[in-house]
Amino acid sequence: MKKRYNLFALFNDFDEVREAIIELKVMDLREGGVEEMRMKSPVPHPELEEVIGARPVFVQRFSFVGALLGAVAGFLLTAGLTQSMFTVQPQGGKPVIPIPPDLIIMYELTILLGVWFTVIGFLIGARLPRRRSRLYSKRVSEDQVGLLVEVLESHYQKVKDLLWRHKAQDVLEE
Amino acid sequence: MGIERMIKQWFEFRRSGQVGDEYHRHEYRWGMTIDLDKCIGCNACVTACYAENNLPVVGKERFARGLAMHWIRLERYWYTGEAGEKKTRFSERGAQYLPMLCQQCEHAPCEPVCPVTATYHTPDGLNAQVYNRCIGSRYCSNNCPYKVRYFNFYSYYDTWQTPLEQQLNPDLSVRDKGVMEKCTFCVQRIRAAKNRAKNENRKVRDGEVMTACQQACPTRAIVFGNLEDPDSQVARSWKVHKMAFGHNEKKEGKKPVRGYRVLEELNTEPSIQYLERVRDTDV
Amino acid sequence: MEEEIRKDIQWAQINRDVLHSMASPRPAYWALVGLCVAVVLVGVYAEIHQYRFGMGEARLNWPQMWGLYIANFIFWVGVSHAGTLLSAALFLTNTEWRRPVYRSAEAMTSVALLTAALFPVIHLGRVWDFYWVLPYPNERGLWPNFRSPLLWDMAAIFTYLNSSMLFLYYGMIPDLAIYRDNATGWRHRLYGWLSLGWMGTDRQWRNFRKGYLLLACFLLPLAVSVHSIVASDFAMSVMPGWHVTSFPPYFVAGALYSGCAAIITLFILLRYTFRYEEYLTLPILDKLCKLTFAIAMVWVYLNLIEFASVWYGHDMFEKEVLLEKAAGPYAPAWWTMLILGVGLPFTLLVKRVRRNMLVLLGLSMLINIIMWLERWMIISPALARNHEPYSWGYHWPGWVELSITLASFAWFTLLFLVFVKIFPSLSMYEVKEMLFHRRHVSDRLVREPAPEADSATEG
Repeated sequence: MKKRYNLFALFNDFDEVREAIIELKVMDLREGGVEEMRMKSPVPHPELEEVIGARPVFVQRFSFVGALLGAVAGFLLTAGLTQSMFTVQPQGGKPVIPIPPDLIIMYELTILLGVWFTVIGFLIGARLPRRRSRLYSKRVSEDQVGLLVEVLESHYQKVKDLLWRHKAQDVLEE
Repeated sequence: MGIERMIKQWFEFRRSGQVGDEYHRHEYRWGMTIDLDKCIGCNACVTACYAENNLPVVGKERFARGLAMHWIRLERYWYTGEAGEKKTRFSERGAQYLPMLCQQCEHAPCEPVCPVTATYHTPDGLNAQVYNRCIGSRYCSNNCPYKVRYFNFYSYYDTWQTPLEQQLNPDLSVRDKGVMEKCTFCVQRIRAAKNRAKNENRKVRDGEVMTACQQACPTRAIVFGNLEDPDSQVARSWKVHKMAFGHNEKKEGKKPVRGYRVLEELNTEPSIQYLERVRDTDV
Repeated sequence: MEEEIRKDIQWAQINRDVLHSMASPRPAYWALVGLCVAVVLVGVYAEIHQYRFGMGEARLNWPQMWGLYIANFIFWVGVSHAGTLLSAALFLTNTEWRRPVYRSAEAMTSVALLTAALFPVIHLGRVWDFYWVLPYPNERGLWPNFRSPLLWDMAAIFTYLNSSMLFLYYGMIPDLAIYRDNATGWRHRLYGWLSLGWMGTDRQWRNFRKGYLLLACFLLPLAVSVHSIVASDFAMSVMPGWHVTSFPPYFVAGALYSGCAAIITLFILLRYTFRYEEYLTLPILDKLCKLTFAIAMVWVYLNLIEFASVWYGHDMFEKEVLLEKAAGPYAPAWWTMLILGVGLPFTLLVKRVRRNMLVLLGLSMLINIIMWLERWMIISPALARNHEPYSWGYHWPGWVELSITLASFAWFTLLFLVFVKIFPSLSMYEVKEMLFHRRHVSDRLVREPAPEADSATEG
């Protein structure tokens, strides 16, 4: 297995990062060497994320499953557990399993589980919680954009120079 | 898990039918008739209820604040003239009396609103209140059109001073603060009669159960009994006055008889029939 | 057109300004906290008194079984609504000016719900058994009654409290990371835990955006359902004056009305206290006022609908309740509520009013008092008249109810005060995003050359 290095460069704005990313991409196409790229930014930048490489997001599937589970759980809780096991006496002339109230509980539980599953889906998708990597700067949460590049040993120096050339404010490595 | 039971109950209780259809299999359905023509407004029923059901006497000040616990109350209404007529402060013939107690509605508005199922409908047609389960949200009393549910705003168990606690009825509890209570049709008497009947392997006979108010009424204005038994006195009086569950005076048009149920238009299906008072001037 | 936010604010400046709000509090803060704690303690004493002697101490009676506690409950649930509206609805419609305001509005939502959730419990006759309404498995097989609107309430409030707090926390994660990066010692550890190791990577942002969108989609219908369900407590009953079909939308409109007014109050107070003039700007306040006016008009219309349907419905009991409101002992409160509630929002049409902080502060607080009165007027006058004339009667709150009501306002203030000191009351990353969008999108559209200062701001 080849030795790899992580380089983390800080830039002043997104435009500079974009230039660096494009050049790195071009270099990677020609001769390889760049294993992975990651951006760390104070605000999201969907277009640049696409440039780095579009990856699908699966949070909505979690929401859907959660909402569905919530609806089923709501019905089983009201009709299955409660109304057929305990409140079997008709009250106020209502049937034992009245639909409208059960729909309301189902509605609320749909949202409750949907919300919880969305948050869980986000945590799984974003790989959180995690320990903070060393290649991080407090400037990233302020106003600078970080670019994390995983390079092979062979291209280490070349990429480092490239980053400095693109007005990187600082380059950390590991 | 109750999925099997869920499916069973689904098919059993989903159908719509006559009011109280679910109970037709049961052998009892308790009902009452109160003849207002016989009522003289003597309040004996109220006193009897206080004695029978361990009702606290709240005192003058709290009564004025509206904290009285009378399960049955004698309402007085004064005829003060129709619109356009000459208004009078009091009617010449005295008040109209209406003994008001829990109507044991078949479609009771108080039942489904209880958050903890402290009130429910028994198979013999009673609107039961479970004191131990009640948490005092007071929604049932708000939703009762007859306002016959009373709340224990204070503790009264220590208000019976020695030796008055000796006269408490041991057949039922003394309620503590924070609990809703109301007329039970003297369920402790019904229970005793049912047990007796069961031991002797027979049904409860008509007149075997008397509610306290009925027992105390000097003019026998109150008739209580099993509506499922066609020969009982109460069932006969319902029949004579063309009263039945699922019927509504407004829907049917004015009937030529005296029987009516209070606030029938709300479709609460009360189990108490009142017989209108007849004035000689009306005849 | 006036800019909602200056385009050349430095990003680092935003961090500094918001972090400043978290700095060690001034003596005035502690004085206010002390005052709130004192008032809350008075409320706790009242509650203990009521617990010892019974609900009769709240001066409730027959037939006035519900009183100020339920009015307070509706009021606080109502206040909580505007936060979600502002956050979720304006997010879904891509409204940029929501960004500086929504954090404090969402915090208000959660805090108001924490206040509201106390009242159904305080109101119970047997408080110590309050957990019986929760559906938990037990050896006796006892369950709550899902037919009861109170249970729907329980489910709705529980869901809303859960979801709005999660939503608030979720949106705060990137900001908590900023706090973590700037804190030292135990604070650094605490915010490290809270921010879950957020680093702002593209993967995190991608999932974050999607999740936020989904949460907003869940939150919006939830908020509408919550107050409709609270309205069902009344609309599903058979009582005249409560059994009104238009109650659910009426409640939702009233909730948003009072909630928007509360947001304006907090907006002005935060702007003044934390020197947020750059972010909570006058043009945004102007838009908030217009939103309040629009919602107020919905509320006015639904009021008219309610009276009209009573009038044409010709039900004698319903009419009796309406007459009771207009001419009974509660009439002064009812007329004050109606005249001021309808009249006050019209002053928002005047630009001078929309720009005058002091006037707006007074106005928004007055609107909230009016809306509190409205909730009381839903309960007491309706209970005073019912189908059974023998039972007609009134309820006037005593010291127990009044001090618990006051304590709820103190409790709300206290929680909010604690919130602004330990959490960012302004969304830093969203304001940065707003600036970023403004600078890039608007510049490209207008095709004006980027000014000198502009290129420096990103650095």
